[in-house]
Amino acid sequence: MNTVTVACFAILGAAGVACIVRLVRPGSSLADRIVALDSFLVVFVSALAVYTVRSGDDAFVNVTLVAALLGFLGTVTVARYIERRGA
Amino acid sequence: MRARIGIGVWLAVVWVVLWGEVTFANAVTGIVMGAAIVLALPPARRPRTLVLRPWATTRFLAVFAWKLVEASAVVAWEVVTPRNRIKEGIVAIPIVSESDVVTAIVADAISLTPGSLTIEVDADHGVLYVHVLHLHDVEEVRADVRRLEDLAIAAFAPSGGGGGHDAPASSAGEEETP
Amino acid sequence: MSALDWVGGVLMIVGASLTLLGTIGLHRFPDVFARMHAATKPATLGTVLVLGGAAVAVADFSISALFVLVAALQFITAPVGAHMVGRAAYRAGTELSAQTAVDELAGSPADRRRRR
Repeated sequence: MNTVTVACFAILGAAGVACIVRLVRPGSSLADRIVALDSFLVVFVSALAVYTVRSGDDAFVNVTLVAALLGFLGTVTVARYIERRGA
Repeated sequence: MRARIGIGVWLAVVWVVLWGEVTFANAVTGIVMGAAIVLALPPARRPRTLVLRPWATTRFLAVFAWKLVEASAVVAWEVVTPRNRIKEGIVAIPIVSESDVVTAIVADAISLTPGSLTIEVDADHGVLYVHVLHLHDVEEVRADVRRLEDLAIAAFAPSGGGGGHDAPASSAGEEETP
Repeated sequence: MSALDWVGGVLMIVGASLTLLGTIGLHRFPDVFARMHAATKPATLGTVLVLGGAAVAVADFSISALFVLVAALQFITAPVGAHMVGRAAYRAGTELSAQTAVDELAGSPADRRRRR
């Protein structure tokens, strides 16, 4: 199980970096950036789940729920902003 | 009224799950919290009836789950292969169901099926605008969505069977001409 | 590793890989709408698989129940979020990429109504 979790961390880490790069890249529109941020939070939730499996520590389990909710909330809020002000 | 009781029960279940253990105290507190929240908030102005026919719902969920897997495979394949086979388009799809709930569920399900994403919902005319990733045949996309919608109507529509075929055929015809 | 660990481990690896492919799609696809396809579908399925695998591999039932709850939540909210961003981007006039074949939304009653 240890190797499996380390592999998952490596894969998710690469995914997270890809999201961050899209977030800060100069050419992206606002819509691109918020999609990248939401994806980053999704990767974050997965990483927390893998951590919980690896360490058996249940401290971050509630954080996954909050992160998922906040990701959705942020996405919807920025979407409404884009509608009014343009991407 | 039944919908509010359902929401109260759901809230109580989530409360118990969040606390981790199913003890008597947790369950009672959950029910109290659920009831308090449901009573404190005003009921929906247009009560929406949601029916869950078990067998049809299972079929819908099974098809839906399979399509989600297929969708992810399609996108993953596109990412991995070097040649860019993307041909996008936005397709107008008339909705036959009159129920808001079914339309919402179908729009949601479309967004998770292979290569399609609901962009705009025209509730007055009953049309759904879907962005498609690999657009080869417009009619094929419409047929796919119609199949999904039939399954959803069978599972969720409030009064036996979906609404009539009152989808505006004329406006769908207008959008065809480039 | 017990049988449950194997199942959970496989689910997690597959889910993580799917998420990674989705995020790569964020870079490769030509325009905003295509990128949303890439971000939401594999990422949602990937997260559901990772959370499901974690729910299976973890020994504690309460944690598993919570992971299932988060997975269900993700399932329901991800397409809605993507739809809202897509709608907003279209209404804000984002250009569709050059590979677009058909655009039936432009000039339709819905389009005309919101441009007013």
